[in-house]
Amino acid sequence: MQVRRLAAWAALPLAVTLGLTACGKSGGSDTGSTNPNGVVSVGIAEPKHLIPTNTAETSGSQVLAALFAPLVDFDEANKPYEVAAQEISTTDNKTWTIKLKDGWTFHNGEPVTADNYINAWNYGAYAPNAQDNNYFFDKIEGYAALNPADATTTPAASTLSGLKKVDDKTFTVTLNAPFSEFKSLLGYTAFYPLPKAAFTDVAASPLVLNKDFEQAPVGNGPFKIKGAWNHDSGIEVEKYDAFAGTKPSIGGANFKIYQNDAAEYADLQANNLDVIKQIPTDSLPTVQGDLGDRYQTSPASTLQVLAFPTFDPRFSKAEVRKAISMAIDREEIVNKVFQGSQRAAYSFVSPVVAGYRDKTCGAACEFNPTEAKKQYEAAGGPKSLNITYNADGGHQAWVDATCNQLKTNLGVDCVGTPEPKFADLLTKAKAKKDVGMFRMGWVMDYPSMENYLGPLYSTNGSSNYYGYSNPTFDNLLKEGSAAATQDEAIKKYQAAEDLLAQDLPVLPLRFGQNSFGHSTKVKDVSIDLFNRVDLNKIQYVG
Amino acid sequence: MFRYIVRRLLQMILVFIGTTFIVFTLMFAGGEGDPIQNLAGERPVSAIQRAQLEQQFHFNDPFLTRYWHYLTDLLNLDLGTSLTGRPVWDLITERFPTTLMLASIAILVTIVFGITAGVIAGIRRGGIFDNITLVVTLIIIGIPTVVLAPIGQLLFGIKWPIFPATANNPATWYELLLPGIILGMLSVATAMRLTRASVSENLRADFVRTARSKGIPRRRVIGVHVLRNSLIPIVTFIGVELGSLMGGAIITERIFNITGIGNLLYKSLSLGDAPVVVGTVSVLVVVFLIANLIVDLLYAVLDPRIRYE
Repeated sequence: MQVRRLAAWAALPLAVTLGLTACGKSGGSDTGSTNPNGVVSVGIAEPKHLIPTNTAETSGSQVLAALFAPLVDFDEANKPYEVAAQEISTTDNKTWTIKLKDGWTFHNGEPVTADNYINAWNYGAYAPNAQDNNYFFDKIEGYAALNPADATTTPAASTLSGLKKVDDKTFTVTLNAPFSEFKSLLGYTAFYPLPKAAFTDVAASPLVLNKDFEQAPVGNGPFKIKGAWNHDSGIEVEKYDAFAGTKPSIGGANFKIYQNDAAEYADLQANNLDVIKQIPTDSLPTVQGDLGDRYQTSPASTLQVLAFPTFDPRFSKAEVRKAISMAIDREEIVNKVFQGSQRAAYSFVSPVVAGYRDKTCGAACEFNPTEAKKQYEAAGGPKSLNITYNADGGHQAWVDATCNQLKTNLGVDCVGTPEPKFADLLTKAKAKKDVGMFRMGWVMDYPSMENYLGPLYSTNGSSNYYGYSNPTFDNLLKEGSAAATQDEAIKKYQAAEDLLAQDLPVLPLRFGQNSFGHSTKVKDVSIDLFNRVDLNKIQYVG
Repeated sequence: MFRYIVRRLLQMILVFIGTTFIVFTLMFAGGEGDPIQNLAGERPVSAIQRAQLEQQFHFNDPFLTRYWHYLTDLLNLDLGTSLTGRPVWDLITERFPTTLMLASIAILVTIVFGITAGVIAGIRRGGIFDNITLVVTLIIIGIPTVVLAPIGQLLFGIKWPIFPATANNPATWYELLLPGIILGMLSVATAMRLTRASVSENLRADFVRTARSKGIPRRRVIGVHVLRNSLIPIVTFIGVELGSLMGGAIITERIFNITGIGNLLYKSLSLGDAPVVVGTVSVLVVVFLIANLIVDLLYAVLDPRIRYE
């Protein structure tokens, strides 16, 4: 019969599917001793670039951290210690002498010399190269000559006058002004050296980078690249045997490039991936059940704040800002909206930097609705409020929750106002248009209190969008940068932070948290200050 | 026939210029905010860096000049470079085979299940099979991809790992099987309903009665006379479906981490990477137009009464 035959055809694919079910493999893993040749897979997104001075996002810097070794790294107390550098010294915080360790080589065999650092930094600081990390060099003398105010003109110089070679292993860095935290700055991605092979001609001025260098970067780090960067697919690295520093305890790493984090998480659950750096927000409610003790958290450097346009007469009184702050229940929002994936913030600097103190914001950040309402009315706060946020970052939920708290606790109207992108919000705030209160986020550039204060609140700060200006604050920062020791600097910065608690140009809301997970095949997984998996500590047991 | 094809090709040029112009306008003439800031994320962009990038991507030229440059480059198959500095042409050609593989699995699933079930249901209209398939397909069509795909992944990729949970780049057929089946299921219902209606209508047509009365075996009546005449609406549907699948199944590709056109479009749109969006859409327009032309030509093969002038 015709019909029966057709039915049989239709049934065939079903039977095949069922047959496949039967031969699905059963994966089992035995946890044995550590394997020094094991290869760990780490999930990342497609990096934008793999050039140290042009890599500002975490996926690229994760790969570069494997390929390069920094001058300094950070210890448990988040203080810098020398890695590729033998010694970093200064007498006046203005001229720094950097002496390199002997015996270090690039993966192509070239010895690491002072020139490698000077060339890489000159390349990064030269404006026409349009490097993302260009601004990291702005403290070095001669930066202005490489970065003219009129962007269309050719810069007057192509090398930083502040960089001077002493001998093959030593060079000095002269800064524009004393900066006591310069050593911490050197731990960032932007300050890696580049081998001669990176440039078309090392004698040329300005330097020109080999076009295909970033497809297979040659570094001075614990791992060397295996093959090349497979775009949107992966990057493999293997142990560099001639590495002169502390060797890692794994044989290599496979950075798998994912198009989105949900797929990355699915692969981790299927044990196809060893480390995920950030559990997707949607999966946080179930992550404990999915991973058990393979789910971990650690403090991250991000800080979320609610900012005030202090130039706006409605918010010019500190009392008004304080009353609003006291009307916000930070714990409730962290627990209800963020499922505990972030932490309530009561300070202006992150716990990941040396000098952090808990609750520097004091009474102003403590939830106290009755006192808040009394003070708000006494100070004559505005009857209606709005909070501007960027619609593409998942901020609507907490902005609405905050508004609801303000409505209930202060008896005012409050609405969230979305802007398409964060950039649109910042453009409006910079132009002093009416944005009301607005959200701000900060990711640390270098682990120092200064980085949470200078750019954000000093009068000429690059990210001061609130029109905040306090000469005492500016002076304290200057004194901190000129301080003889790091401890003295921290004292000045802490005094500056105390001023913020009085003036409240912004309200600290939440600290970020790394929520990461790993497979059964690895142990000792940790995330460093820059949101990278620490490949020097991780162990392979699979 | 030849004149028809030439006329269609000429029409395609007009459609192509029109669509690229609209997309180009939408992407570049504001609305997408500030592409340079988007690229930098939440960090400030220095004035110098901004000027360098603006120069590099000609953001300051008048709009029509830029569109003219774009069109002339396009004729040389130069789609420009993305904001991250990769040639757009490479980005597309790298991903196209994967999307093509995924689309063919999906279409195959649609054809095998949809047409088979449709024919059976059409012959036995109102029977048990007809009713059951109607309910089942309606349930599947009622579940959106955002639900169906993650459930499929969880069940068959993680709980019972029959299929890989995600795809690598380049993807293998095996990795694309599960997402392909899920994608195909969504159009099974439509294909089945179309076939069923068309078959049951043709069964009552004069030429079928004539064929039967001539004593032709039932198998041949259904297989040749009914099926062939019933395929026109399905071919139309599948042609359009194939065209849109080429555009990439954004949701499915994202869930299964498939490095295809859909993912490329999604990523570039969220980054505001206009050169990639415009380039990809231009290529997709051509693909879609060609797919439609082929469908139209297939009509004549299926039904000799159709003539092209």
